[in-house]
Amino acid sequence: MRYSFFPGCKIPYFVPQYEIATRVVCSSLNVQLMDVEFNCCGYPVRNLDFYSYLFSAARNLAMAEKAGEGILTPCKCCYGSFKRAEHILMERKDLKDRINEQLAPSDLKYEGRLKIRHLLQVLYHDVGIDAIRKKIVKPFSGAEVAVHYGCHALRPSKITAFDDPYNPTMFDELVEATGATSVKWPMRLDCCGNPLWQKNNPLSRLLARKKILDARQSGAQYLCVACTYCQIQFDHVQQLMLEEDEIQTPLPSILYPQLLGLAMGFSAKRLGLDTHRLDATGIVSCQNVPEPESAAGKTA
Amino acid sequence: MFYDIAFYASLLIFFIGIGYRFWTWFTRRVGDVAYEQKSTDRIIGAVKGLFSLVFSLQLFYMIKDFFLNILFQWQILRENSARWAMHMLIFAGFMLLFFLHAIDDTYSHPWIDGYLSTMNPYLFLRNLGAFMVIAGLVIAVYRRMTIARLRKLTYAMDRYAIGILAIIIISGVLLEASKIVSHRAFEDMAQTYAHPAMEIADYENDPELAALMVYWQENYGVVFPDRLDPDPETLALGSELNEVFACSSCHSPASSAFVSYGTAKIISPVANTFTAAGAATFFWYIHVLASFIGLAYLPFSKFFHIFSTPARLLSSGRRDASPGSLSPSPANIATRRAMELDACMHCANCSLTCSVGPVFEVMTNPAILPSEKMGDLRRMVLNRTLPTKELLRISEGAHICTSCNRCTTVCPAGINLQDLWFAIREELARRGYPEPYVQAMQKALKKDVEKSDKPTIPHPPNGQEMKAGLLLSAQADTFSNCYNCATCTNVCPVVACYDHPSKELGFLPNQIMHALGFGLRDQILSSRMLWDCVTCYACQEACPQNVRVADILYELRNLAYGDVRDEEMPAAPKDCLEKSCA
Repeated sequence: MRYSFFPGCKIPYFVPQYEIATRVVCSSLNVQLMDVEFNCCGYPVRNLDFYSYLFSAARNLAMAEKAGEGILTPCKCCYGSFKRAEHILMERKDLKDRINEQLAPSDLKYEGRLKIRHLLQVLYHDVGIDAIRKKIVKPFSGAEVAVHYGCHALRPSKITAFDDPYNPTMFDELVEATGATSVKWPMRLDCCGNPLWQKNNPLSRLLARKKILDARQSGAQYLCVACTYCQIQFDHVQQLMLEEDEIQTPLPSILYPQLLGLAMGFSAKRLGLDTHRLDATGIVSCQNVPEPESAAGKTA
Repeated sequence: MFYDIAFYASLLIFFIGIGYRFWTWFTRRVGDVAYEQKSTDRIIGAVKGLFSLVFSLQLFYMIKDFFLNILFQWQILRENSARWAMHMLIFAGFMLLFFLHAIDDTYSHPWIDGYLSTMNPYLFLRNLGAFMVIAGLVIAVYRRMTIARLRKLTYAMDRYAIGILAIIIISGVLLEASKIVSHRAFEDMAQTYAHPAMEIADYENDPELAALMVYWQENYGVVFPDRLDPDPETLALGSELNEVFACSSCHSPASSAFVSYGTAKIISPVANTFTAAGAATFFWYIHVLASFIGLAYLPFSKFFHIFSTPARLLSSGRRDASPGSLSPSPANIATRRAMELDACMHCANCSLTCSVGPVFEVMTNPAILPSEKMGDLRRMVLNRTLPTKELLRISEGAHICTSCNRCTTVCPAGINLQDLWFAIREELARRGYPEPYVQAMQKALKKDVEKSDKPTIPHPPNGQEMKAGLLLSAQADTFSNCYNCATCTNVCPVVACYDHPSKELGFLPNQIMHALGFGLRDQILSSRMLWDCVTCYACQEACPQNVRVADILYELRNLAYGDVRDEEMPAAPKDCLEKSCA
């Protein structure tokens, strides 16, 4: 499997460990990631100017088409942004023509035949749960993890086609494949609040706080996310909330490729788990000591 | 006399300028941290920092940086080999000319044994330097003209830099070429070293002079009023005399000066006109004046980067560009930021790789691009009272930046651009310019005042107009399908945060959809709901009528921001939203 890798803008500076862990996990699961110099997916500018958003998104899609493989992003907002652009450009030929006219000087053209994938989809559909299970050498046991689905991949489902919008299971299955328990919690499909960060901080924090409390009440020890923005919200913003006493006990957030990477036997340091603002390294203590031969078989 | 006065005057301006620029590194305030630091603290901090750099292992990094990044310019080569070739040719070529030619009185003569500007290798090296600079300038012009974005970002200061270098070098070449072809120069030399009373007009009566002239015509490119016949016998005699009169001990063959010699060959048909008109003197004045203007203006032009960029690279290089490494004191951060304003030479490398470059292509606000934000930040720091229009434009650019850090990683000057973009936002916030989203919101919410108890539905309802303005995100006009079941409002997580949502949020999602049909633009835009939408798409997912609720809310915010652009930034390029509707 080969994909053009689209890390998105926030990863390099704010969440570099997400890219590191994604690369580690993908390479050992035989998912090749190609580097293309992409631009912003357009999501951040969508509130200001629709066409700027569309052009930014389409330019990336055209570049990925030119590179000849599908596009893989670990960020749900980038994913949503691309899927929506794909949809709009399919519905609106006039916009597509205009975009292509503007892309022509850069020797790019968007045809509309690109495979757009989120990291979780590639792991679930392309690699497969069984193949992942076979790679698990240090499974978790007794780790209570709350999966956070992330809005922009899940909804609107007609456009994103990610999973069942009301009863998604993909992320839960992927988490359970590592041996961790995916706790049932009422607010798992709700928004993390990050889209309002720097726009209405109190409301953004309130939404995050509700989720964090709900997850802890449901017995979760960790949050598990697969989106750059959600991680910023549950790591950086949650830390601010702790400092200002908005919540008392932290609920650390772990990125899915980190969780998977740990179970596959990579060290916490290699996966950048030690770089989080809220210490999530404690999850290592829930890992079974690898037993030769039988370890992988047991968890399957 | 002229030379001395001009030289010392320009040198004085140069030193005053350099001193002033250095001083601003400790006085200019960039970002919040700088407002808490006194200039004296910054100077003390810098001295301390310098000491701790020099007396630590960091010294080795400094030495490495000096060779690798300042002399060899590895950081440019790594990003772009054409740029490196351009920069290296100009840098090395100009250094060659500077040491072996410009300051040969103070450097070459005392330090290099047997230095003679007319002898090889110096004659050749001077021309090599000129050739390198010209080649570098050709690449520079070519890049600035052929790379579309670079062309857009080329301003007077960039053209000045290329222009002044070109004038200095080309006038120098022409000066040397006019001296090569000048029979007057030959005559002067011949009178000084061979025979004081000699006149070249008399050459027919003086076979020795004629022989020397033929030899110089053939080997040194001198053009005499009458072309002389180079028969082998005369040439052989000329060659001998060239030795006897010791001409050859001071003059390497002119062809070693390959650039000037080539130029001399080109101008040879009009050489006598040149000589008669005193071209050499003319070009000498141009050359000397241009050099002195370049020197005097250097501290105020982008050439100041020959000091500021190495200073920036040596002070900490890219060692503090990555998060988690060296964390300097607040005083030093303030100084570093001020220094970084000067270290940028507007190469626009950052703008070529900027993540939001495509947004610039659409919105055409240069403040979106890092190289231009740098100039905006400098203007903001120098001028505390920029007009609203300008600040809004700068704010738009500063906040559209996604902080992807790419500009910082490609900057050849090692400027921590990402950090400066945090500073520019701090500067904007100080002046009351939050991010554009909040500006649009504040502007829209002001309309709240006009919202009274009076019935608001206009007659006739102008929903059609509203509909026509919402055509962008595929089927945003689906709001007319709404039958007001309020499912969207019931699933909204933001609505769920309030006990009295209508009081806090104004129109709720279903009401907004319904109000759209009546064209209640102001009431909709001034509803807090629109601005507190967290874009989770729960409403759109749940709508039984397939109304694209969240997409419509996005578009309404676009409309509101379009108002800000239209009303507050009339000079700003027209919003694309409208272009598409037209």
